[in-house]
Amino acid sequence: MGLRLVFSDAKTWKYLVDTLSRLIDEAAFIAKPQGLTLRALDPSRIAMVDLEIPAEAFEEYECTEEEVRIGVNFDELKKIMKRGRAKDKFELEVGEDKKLNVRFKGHAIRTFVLPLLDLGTQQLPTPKIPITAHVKVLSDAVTDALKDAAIVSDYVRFEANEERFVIKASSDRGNVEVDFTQELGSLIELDVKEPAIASYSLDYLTDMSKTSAISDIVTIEYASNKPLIMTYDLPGGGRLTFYLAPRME
Amino acid sequence: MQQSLCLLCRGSKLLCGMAYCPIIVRHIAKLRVRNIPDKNIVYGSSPPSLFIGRIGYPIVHIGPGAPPYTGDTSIYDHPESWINKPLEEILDYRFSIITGRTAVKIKDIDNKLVLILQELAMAERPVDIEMVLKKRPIPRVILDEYVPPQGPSAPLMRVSLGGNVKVNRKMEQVYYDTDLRTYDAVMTLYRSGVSVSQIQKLLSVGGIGTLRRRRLVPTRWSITAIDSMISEGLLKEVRRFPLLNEYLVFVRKYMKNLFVAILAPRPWSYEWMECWFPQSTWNPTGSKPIIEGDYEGFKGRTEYPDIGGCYYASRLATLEYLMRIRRQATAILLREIYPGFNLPIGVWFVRENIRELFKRRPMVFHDIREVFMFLKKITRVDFNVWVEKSVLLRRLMREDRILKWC
Repeated sequence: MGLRLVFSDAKTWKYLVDTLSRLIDEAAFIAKPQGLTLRALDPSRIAMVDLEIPAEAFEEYECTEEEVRIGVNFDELKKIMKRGRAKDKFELEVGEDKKLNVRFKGHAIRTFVLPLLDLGTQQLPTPKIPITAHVKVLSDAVTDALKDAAIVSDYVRFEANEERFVIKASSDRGNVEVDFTQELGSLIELDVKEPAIASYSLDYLTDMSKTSAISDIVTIEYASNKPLIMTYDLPGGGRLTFYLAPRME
Repeated sequence: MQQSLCLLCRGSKLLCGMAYCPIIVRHIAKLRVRNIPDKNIVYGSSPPSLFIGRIGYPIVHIGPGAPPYTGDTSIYDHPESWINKPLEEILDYRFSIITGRTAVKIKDIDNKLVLILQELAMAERPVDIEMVLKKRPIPRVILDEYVPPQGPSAPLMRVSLGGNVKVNRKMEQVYYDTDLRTYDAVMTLYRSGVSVSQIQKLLSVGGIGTLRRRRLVPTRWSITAIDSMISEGLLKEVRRFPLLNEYLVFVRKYMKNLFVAILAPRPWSYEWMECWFPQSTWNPTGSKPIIEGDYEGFKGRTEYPDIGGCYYASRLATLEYLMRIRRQATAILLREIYPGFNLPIGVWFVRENIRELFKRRPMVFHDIREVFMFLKKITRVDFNVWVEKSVLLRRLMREDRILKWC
């Protein structure tokens, strides 16, 4: 027996896989005794996702091997995850047969078996990104701001200074500006060493922000015209980080 | 317009700036209309040709078509053979065809007329048919952005096929295989070399798919259904191919149209954009060019694009090229339509032009900026405007890749 993971409810994983499938085609989860990780590029290589869930976040976590690679096609996995009910108990299992068992335990025990994809063992390096602004915001507020911005444009400007964090969009269709302040409660932390202004594609941000369904707070880190690091803490432990290349003006 | 222009031109040089000579076309139309037989009986060689209307769905008008004479009419309803033919000639083929029509429920595929049309759809060569019409065909022509131009039509009493029809073996095979799903049937036919317009005809007369699901499909819808299905099939393979190594740019100018393809060394994504100049078909009264388009990412799309069926026609032709070179790429297809091109003639025009476009030798570049500098001299719209309107061009020009930071 190689690997067995049990999560108390399927909800987190349903949303997690849904978000990942928007950005990634195929990728491998890597399970080690200390936890589960996944790092992958989107096909156009503009964005990278980096997932980390420690063993403690699972109800049960058994990994008897040094490393188990779970290569999957995310469209396929998403179809399976859609079948799970949010309250079902959720299990992932890789046995000797090199197949992935996805199991939901609710009114019945439902098992889906997927062949594992061999995606090579190449490891992606961690992006080294300079940061001058560190912002913590309610994730729903960011999701809303991105939806607001989409009315006029397909990209947004993030502006951070010592006092405030602003998401802006403009085009010949008009302008949108969303101000986050500590008084109104949406802005939780603001640490700006140097004012930062950068533009990012809404296409990607919108997909990434779907994570707000399972995570209340998002950390945004960046510097002027540098990539964005967007981190969501996952319920029960672990985090999902997105790296997004900036849009040049 | 200067009055002497027509005199100097006489239909040969198109001095008026139109994509066709209106005087000649009017003349042809009159001539064809006058050729309509006095009797209610039309005897002629069907290319083969058939039409399924969409108005009244799920009860639609269907019927066979043929010019009122016999001979090799195969080109009359075969858009794949129309490219590089003058528009006047294409319109002449089309106006010649007389269509008989009867209302039928779309699920009524055991209907006698439907069975005849199914046989007709599978014919490899023109078939002599006799149509008995209720009255003389109405002398008029129909132009549509999806469907090729159509000639006169009249209510049909009965139709009979003359002699033995030689049917295409592959088509016959999928026709009788009532467990074969539509998608699989379409890909089987396509891979065995049956042309897109033939597959479309068989689909529209309910000749493919699992039995319970067979039904009549309006010609207009079936054209896009086939373009979309086949390109979806090709895309499954193209997504697995290695990336292109450089930027390839293709340019084609044809009949008041400019077609440009930019293939970039990135994973599959695709964009189709059209710029209609004032006094072209879909911008008759505007004062400046209008750009519209739609795109998809690596995973394709599930919603119908705003821009319409030409999106899929062009996607099909693009993927055919990528299949040939066994590479994947980000493909950006641009079309400029200049004043004077003011007839809607069907999406075949886009499909066949993009196919021609990719037969040319491409320009090769190593940097998107070189592509930009080159196309600045090609497009009539400022290329900066194209970049502003195009999501994928902007992505190529303005977005860094995250790996740069690793």
